[in-house]
Amino acid sequence: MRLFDKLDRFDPNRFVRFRSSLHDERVATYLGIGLGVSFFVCFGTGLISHVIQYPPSWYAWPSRPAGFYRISQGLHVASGLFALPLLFAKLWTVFPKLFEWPPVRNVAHMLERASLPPLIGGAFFMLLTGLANIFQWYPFRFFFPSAHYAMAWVTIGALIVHIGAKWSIASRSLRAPLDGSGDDVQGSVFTRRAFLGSMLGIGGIVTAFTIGQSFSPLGRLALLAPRRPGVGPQGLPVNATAVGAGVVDAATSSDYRLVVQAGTAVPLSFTLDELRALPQRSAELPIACVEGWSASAMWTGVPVRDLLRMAGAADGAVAQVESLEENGLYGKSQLNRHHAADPDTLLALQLNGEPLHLDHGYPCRLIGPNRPGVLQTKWVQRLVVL
Amino acid sequence: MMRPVEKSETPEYRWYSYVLFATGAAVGIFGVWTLVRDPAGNNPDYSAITAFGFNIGHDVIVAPLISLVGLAVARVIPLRARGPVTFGLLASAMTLFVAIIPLRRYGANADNPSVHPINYATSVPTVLAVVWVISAVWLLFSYRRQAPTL
Repeated sequence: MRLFDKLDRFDPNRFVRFRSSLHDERVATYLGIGLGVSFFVCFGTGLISHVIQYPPSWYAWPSRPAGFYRISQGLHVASGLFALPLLFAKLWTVFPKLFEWPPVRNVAHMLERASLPPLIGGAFFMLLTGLANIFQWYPFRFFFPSAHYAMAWVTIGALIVHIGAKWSIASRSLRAPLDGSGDDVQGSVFTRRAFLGSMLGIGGIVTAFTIGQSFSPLGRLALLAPRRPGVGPQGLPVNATAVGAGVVDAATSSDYRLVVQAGTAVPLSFTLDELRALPQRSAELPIACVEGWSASAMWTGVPVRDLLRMAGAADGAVAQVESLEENGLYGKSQLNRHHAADPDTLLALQLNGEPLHLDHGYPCRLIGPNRPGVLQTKWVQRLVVL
Repeated sequence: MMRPVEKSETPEYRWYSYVLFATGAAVGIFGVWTLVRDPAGNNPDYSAITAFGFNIGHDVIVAPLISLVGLAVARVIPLRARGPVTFGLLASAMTLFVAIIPLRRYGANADNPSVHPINYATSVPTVLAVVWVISAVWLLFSYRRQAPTL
């Protein structure tokens, strides 16, 4: 652009010098590939969770494989944590580009640069609000799931634009022969290879010390994680407590009844002892949270499909489970035809052979395969066929 | 071949670049629409300012700070030790960055001991110790590889 040629005396590169060999196209390309893969994994796994919680009318999320949701959300958080050091490294590597002169060279270049604030701001927004969320810290003035979801689309859109803009440069830099420049042959300075290895190593360290929250065999290594699989009432973490949900009195009352209603038929009503007297089934199922933590346990209770049949519901019925927690965001959840018919979808009364702890949903809670923790409704009082 | 990022030529845009521009723009516009259609939940102005603030915060504070630390390392640390020391500093900074929330007990809930279940005041130094052990091993190898031979 001619205007900028005339303004050469304002070129910031006259005053700023970046000498490090790490501000290099090939380094930026490798970091960009790592970040791109992490962000697309994060986006895809986040989208899975969103679709399960807000399903379109034409789609019913399957109940099998039982542990798929657990793996997907463990991956969601792990890829986000892994991306954090890569993001800082990538931005530092391309920091000299901030002072690029002229700042725009043509219309397409201008559009490419315009996509950077949403990309960088969105990337930080996603990773930092996600980090706060896994520790259950909400200092921001928006509803986290909703804003995180919207900003994910903004960020991934900007990332797609960025890939379009950088594809040819990235391909060229990967094809260019290595001549060893920037790599100290004596192996003693912070070479490009050592820098990239270090960034992968740092991402690996952060991941290794947190992944135990979703991968139980590494639970003891979870030194930076917000959760540990074995810590919580009855050895299992919880998100909402009975005190926090305000259900202690109702859940422990001798007046407790589970009501099962199908259409206009007379509703069935069960005391806790009557529920215990029904045929029971046990299943080992994970509680898996969108925050990445998960843990398996042995649950025992009454299969939901048995209760629906007793109430006269037709095969393939869709049902709603309602909690004693009336004001919570997750006081109700729906069971689509797959989940309602799955023999392992239980209204559980026991956890690992003991009556449920109050914080795990005593007297009775929903537990089903391949479902987010927020949809495993606790303190259930009604099961309604829709 | 080394090619400093600031010396990059004007990018060559091919046909697929324009396809990706259009796709990305459509996806991004959907995101903006999703953001603004729920003003009560998303607080769009605040969300946008927060995201833009992260941009500015990085460019004005974080990146210059990292560059200054890099300069200091280059001046103070002997050549052979720069790699391991830089790794140790960056890994420590990232560990503390991730751990600052539980260390400050943000989000902790006295009602629910399964959130923040670890004593982070001891677990975080343990992770830092692992980081510096890795740095020390790297340093050792770096010096051994450079040892003069007879």
